[in-house]
Amino acid sequence: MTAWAVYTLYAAFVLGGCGLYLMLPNPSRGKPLAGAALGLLGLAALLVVWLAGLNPAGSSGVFFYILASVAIACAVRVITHPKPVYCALYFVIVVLATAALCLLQSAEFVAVAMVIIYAGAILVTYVFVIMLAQQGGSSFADVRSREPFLSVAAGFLTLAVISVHAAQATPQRHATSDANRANAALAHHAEHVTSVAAGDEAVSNPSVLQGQVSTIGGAVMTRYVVVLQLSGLLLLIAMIGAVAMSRKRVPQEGVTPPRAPLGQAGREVAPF
Amino acid sequence: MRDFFTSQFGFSLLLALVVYGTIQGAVAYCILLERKIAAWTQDRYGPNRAGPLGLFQPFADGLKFLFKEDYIPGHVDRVLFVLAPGLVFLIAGIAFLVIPWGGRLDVSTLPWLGDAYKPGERVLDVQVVSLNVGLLYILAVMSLSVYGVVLGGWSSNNKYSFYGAMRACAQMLAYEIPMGLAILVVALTMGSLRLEEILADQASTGVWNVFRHPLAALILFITALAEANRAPFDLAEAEQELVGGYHTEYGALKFGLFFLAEYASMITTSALIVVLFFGGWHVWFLGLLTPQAASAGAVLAKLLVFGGKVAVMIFVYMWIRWSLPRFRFDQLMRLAWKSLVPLSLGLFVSAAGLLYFGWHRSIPACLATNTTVLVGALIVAARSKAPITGRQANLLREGLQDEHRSKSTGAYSVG
Repeated sequence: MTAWAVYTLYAAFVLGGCGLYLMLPNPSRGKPLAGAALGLLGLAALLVVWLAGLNPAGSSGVFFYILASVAIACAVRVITHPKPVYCALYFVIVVLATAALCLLQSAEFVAVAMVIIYAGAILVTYVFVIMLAQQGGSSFADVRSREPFLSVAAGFLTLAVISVHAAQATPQRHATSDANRANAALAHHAEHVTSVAAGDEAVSNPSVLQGQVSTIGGAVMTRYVVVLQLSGLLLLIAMIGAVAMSRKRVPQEGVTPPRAPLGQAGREVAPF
Repeated sequence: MRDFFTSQFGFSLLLALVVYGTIQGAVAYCILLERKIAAWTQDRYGPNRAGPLGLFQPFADGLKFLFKEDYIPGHVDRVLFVLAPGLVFLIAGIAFLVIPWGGRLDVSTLPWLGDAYKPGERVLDVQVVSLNVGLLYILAVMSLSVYGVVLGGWSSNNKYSFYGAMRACAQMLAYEIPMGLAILVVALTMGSLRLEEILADQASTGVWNVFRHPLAALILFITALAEANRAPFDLAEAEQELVGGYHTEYGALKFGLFFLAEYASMITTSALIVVLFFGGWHVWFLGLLTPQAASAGAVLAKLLVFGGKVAVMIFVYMWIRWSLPRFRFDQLMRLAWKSLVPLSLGLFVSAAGLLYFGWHRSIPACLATNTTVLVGALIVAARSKAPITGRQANLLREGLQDEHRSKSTGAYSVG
């Protein structure tokens, strides 16, 4: 990875950070269009770096860029939209776009499992949001974000460090010059043809295997079985905790309940 | 052109359009059937003015939905208010994509398209998409369908709609768990998440899953009723308490979309139950219908048998709706969390045990575990007292206090 690519990557994150900072809700600023423009500029810089050689999308091409842009744009709206209900809805779109990205890598099981799990989880969030959010206009807490500068700086610094290191660690799939690129494509194609001719595509192309439920099930039940058991235990603990917290003392037949004032009857909750 | 329509992609596209159209048409007549069944249950005539036997009533209803004023009340959140019915309708329209309607089709047996092909040269799936996670796909799409209801209820900015949305939410969260577990029992027994493999397995052995796991079939049926928001689980739109529930503020075509989506999801869930438990297009007395039979005639017969089974299932849905009273909310929650979840968990564990011993395909072993689970549940239920919940607890306390007061003062107490 060349030095200018690293600098462009850093520039993209600086631009994106500034853009996000300007877009975060703040009652003393006007419309956050400048922020959106800066953020788009940052995305464009990222695109330049990717197109110039580093191609994380592999062969899935244009769909990757569309879905990734949708996911990023909606993720920004999750934290910048003043209405909480819309934020939750944008989160649904982020999840769907990410699931579609998994589908592009033919990880069907992960994609579908993600939708099932997050759809339920977001629904619970939704319940809370709907309970707390008021329909008539935004509340005081919704129109300003807490510590916007620090959180944006921390987030984008982490993102920059991780992605620059990941980019340097990833081998370049396509050489920069056109001739090299054509050669690489030809070689890739030849390899593909031979492997298909050998009837052995699944072995040369691991992504064919990755999405299979049986592969994932086998891995979970053999190599990661301890992790599986531990997460089950964790969920059990969480469930016991939830039951304990929602415990309520109710009278039983034949037992005279302690007397309570009429309006208060049945309302008291015994702490666990 | 011919090559396009006989490729799997072109055929899937065509099939999706045809099935979608058929479902929409079937929905219109389901509404008529529902009204006829309601009338039959309540000993009246039902719709009989438009056309012979009221057969043109769906057209009249459809035109009414189309030509009514599309009114948006002033106090609603306009974006979500418009988005919600569309979302419901879209999701009801993509859930059926993985249902294997008619096995496989050999193109060469088609009347005029197939002349250019040799037998067995090109064999297509009569299914829009063949996913290796088809079962999970249906679960995922159905879990998304509640968003439309919740958004519609919230954006209406009306407390009755809001209550409807909250009830739908809680109900969906509760009933998804037993539904998933009941489906997992089938997945364990069949060893596949592909719907067409599950179906072909039942057809080639001639043993429908309902004979192995009748209890799981029952649980899936009950939860499917709840997921489709059908009575006795239609608390989200309880007319007596909530006016119309989440669609109180909707009118014209937007209300029509909610309506269509409800019936379309009924058809999809019926098809799912038929595939998982009732052998899809398989019947014993028609030897023609095997997984290998791929001629055009066989596919047509399979489609008809499948459609007939789905129709029977839908009739049962409607029969139940007009026979049973609606649940109260605490009864609904108790049924889900205290009955269906433990039952389906027990079934799931027993199915896993059968799989461990290699008896998962033997009918007597499966029936024995089902009976054991059911009998165990009945014993536990008989030995435990009916829980005193929420309002009943208040009534009990107030009753005790009234009793106490009437004893001490000699005052007259009602009840």
